[in-house]
Amino acid sequence: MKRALVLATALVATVFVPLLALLRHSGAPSTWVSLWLSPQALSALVGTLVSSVGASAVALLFGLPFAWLIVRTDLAGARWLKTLVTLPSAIPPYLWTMGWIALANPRSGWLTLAIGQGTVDVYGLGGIAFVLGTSALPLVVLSTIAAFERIDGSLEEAARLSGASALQTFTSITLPLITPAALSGAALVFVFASASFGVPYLLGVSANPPTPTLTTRIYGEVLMGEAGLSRAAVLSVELLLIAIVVLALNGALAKAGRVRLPRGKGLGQRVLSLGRWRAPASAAAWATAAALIVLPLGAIFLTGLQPTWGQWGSLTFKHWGVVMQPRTLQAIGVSLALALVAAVLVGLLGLAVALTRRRWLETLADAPSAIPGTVLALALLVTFSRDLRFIAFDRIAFVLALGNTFWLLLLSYVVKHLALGVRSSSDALAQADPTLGEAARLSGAGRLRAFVDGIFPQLRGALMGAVLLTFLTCVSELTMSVLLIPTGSDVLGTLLFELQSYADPAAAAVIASALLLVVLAALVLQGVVSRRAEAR
Amino acid sequence: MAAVELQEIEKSFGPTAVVKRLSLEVKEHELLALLGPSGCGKTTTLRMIAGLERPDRGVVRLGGRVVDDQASFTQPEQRGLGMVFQSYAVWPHKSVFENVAYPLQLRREGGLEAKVMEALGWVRLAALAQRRPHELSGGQLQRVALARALVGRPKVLLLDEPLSNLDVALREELRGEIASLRAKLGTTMVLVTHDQGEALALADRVAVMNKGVIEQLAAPAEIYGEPATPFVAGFVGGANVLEGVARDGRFFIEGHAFELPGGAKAENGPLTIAVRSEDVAIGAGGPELALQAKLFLGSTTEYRFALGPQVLRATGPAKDALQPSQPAAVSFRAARLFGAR
Ligand SMILES: Nc1ncnc2c1ncn2[C@@H]1O[C@H](COP(=O)(O)OP(=O)(O)O)[C@@H](O)[C@H]1O
Ligand SMILES: [Mg+2]
Repeated sequence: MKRALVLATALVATVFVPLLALLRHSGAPSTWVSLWLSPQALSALVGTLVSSVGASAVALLFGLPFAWLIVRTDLAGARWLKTLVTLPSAIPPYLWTMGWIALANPRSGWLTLAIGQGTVDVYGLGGIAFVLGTSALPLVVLSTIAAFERIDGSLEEAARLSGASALQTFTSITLPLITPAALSGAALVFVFASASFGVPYLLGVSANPPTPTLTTRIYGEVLMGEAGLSRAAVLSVELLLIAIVVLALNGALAKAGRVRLPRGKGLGQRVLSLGRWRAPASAAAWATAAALIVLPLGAIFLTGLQPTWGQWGSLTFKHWGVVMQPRTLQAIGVSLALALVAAVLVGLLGLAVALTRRRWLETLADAPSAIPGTVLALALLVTFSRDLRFIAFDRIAFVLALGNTFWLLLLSYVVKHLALGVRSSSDALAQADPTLGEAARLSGAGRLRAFVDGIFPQLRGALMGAVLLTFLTCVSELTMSVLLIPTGSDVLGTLLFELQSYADPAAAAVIASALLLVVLAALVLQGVVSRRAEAR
Repeated sequence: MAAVELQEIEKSFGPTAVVKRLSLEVKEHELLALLGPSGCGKTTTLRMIAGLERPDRGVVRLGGRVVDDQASFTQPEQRGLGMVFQSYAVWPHKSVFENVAYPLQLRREGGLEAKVMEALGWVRLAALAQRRPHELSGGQLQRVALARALVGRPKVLLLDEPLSNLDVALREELRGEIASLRAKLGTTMVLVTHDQGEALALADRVAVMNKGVIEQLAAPAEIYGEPATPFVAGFVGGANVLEGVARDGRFFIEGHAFELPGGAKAENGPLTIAVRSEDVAIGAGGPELALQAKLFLGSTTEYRFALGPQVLRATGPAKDALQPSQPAAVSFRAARLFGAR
């Protein structure tokens, strides 16, 4: 209990107290509504809602057919296709944006030039929704695949025997059964999209006319200094409310639907033989996946190798010098260090939370992951921008000066991703066989020793996965970093962001390429490790 | 005319032949049970009747009409069948009423509500029509499945282990309900089961399957009383199946010589016999065997004797002074002889 209280106190102090401070900073609730309804704020709200709904629609549009083809048909290379279409979530959204800017900016994008000027334009709400939707594709694909896999084959066969054709069976039985999972995936896409910052900034602020969203508007206000800060706080409350409402709706929907599919795999699943449609369907699916995923990544690599931005010509490595510049090296070093420490802390703290086996504490530790990064960062910013003085026992005074330091950035990384560590540990712990630890105790091991020898080996795989995922997300984090980065310093995300939006897109593409290589290498490594673990 | 006719059906999954040149006729209004151990191909046979699986060779006829041969194939929804699955297969997103109404909706039949409520009445679920599946017990779910399969008045009802997911008491109850529904509706039924009690109690005829072939097809009493093969004797009657050698009217196995009972005649040579456990006499002469174990079963006691590596089971009165590892004289009161295999 004592450990649980300590952890809870730390969470309250670093997340919930700052949120309260943010509320205080936003002034009286009576003034909120008038600010929310001001034309500028309204257009930002519309931007957020439209782009998030659009992103959900895009993810559903591509995700549902992919999921069905992968699970239920004899499509060529279905396993590899699954790997490919679940790749986007491992890569930060602004990298996809960079790729699509190279492909579809209205002046010199390669697609634009190929199809004809004035045809495609990635800037504006449509582009934002498209890029967010494709980069969140895995959220829909994975939840829908899981639902398809849990449908017992006899549910569909019973419909056939009742007189339904294959098509009627699909529309009246299969589709309704996967709908709750698909919708819940779409809701997660919405929350992800409404909280994202890099994509709407790169594609909205320089669009013509500029299309703001809540996150980019909040960033703009923060840049204006003290006066903007309270307006930013009010908009943050709005953004937070949107996330809470959508997640609550999603939870209520899941409960109301009550379509309980059994856990684990459904029995007797039939794979539809596509017959003479197999070749064209496989080709179409692979071509779509390649266009959505391989094309933008390829564009980033090629942009880094172009002699001048926007010009085809002989490729060159001349831009790659940027990687060796002191500023870049420093940003890489800081990012690697911060991400590494954050990932290890997420693993350890997540394990500690899960080990208390208290659901309320797990819920508390889960909550920050639902808070949009912009809101969380702003809350930390207003709380810790001034030095905090504590006086203990009337004599020892100490000063907590986190503002404008990397510590605040680290703190934000850890609390935002803590849920990853908690969930993976608590899932693994629920599946772990406690008798292995008990056997160790009876063999004479102490409590700690029994845990290390008996239980921990069963958690290691899941924990390593969470640590790796946290590392990958943090090493390229942008949304919170732009608000919390100490003046005059960079992390990879902010450096890329600055180069891409103001200075040197080619240099940005080079650094992005390097980052991509690291991410892909890490994923391959993880794949190899987990396959080896499975084989054992 | 046969309601269902299978003619030399063959089916393999990859290299393993699951159903081998199987022929079978189910008469109108008959309940035929397909009985056999798990994995012998019963479900596969049933699914080929339903059109959920296609045979590699052979012909399937329903009511005299060819529904599957190598040239033509009638889709499952066009065969006019009903089917109850082992896993209930009640649709979780539809209420009880909607589940049962579904087959009628597809046919756009009038009087839907009355027909659905009548079918729910057959399985005593009328009061639960508006419930959702997750609010029902296993027995209730299987009743919904039964009502849904029967509501369209199919010519033939296929039942795949409909009772084996239920606990013993429910199983008895639903068994009775299937029997009375059949009496009421006169539907032809094919029942797949691995439970010999279920098959013998419900069926007009039983087809005992083993490794993809039908070993015997006969009325329950004949299957039990006159098993055609050692497998049937062992699986249905629970008999001891012993393989040994006959010589001069005696049966030799594992170095022991038993008298063949009732003056049964056997040619000299390899011989398989089936002896029911209640036909094994203890302490009435014969070779001495060591008692391995003694299982108290309530009204009787089962004794297990070591016969080389095999076990010989005998049923005796509940009270008996025989102790484990004690030798006892064992003989056969009756046996079925199957000649060389
Ligand atoms: N779709 C399938 N693919 C491969 N093997 C199968 C398939 N269906 C059944 N089998 C195999 O065929 C054999 C017979 O199966 P089944 O007809 O279900 O047996 P039963 O119903 O008598 O238990 C089993 O060994 C089973 O593993
Ligand atoms: Mg079966």
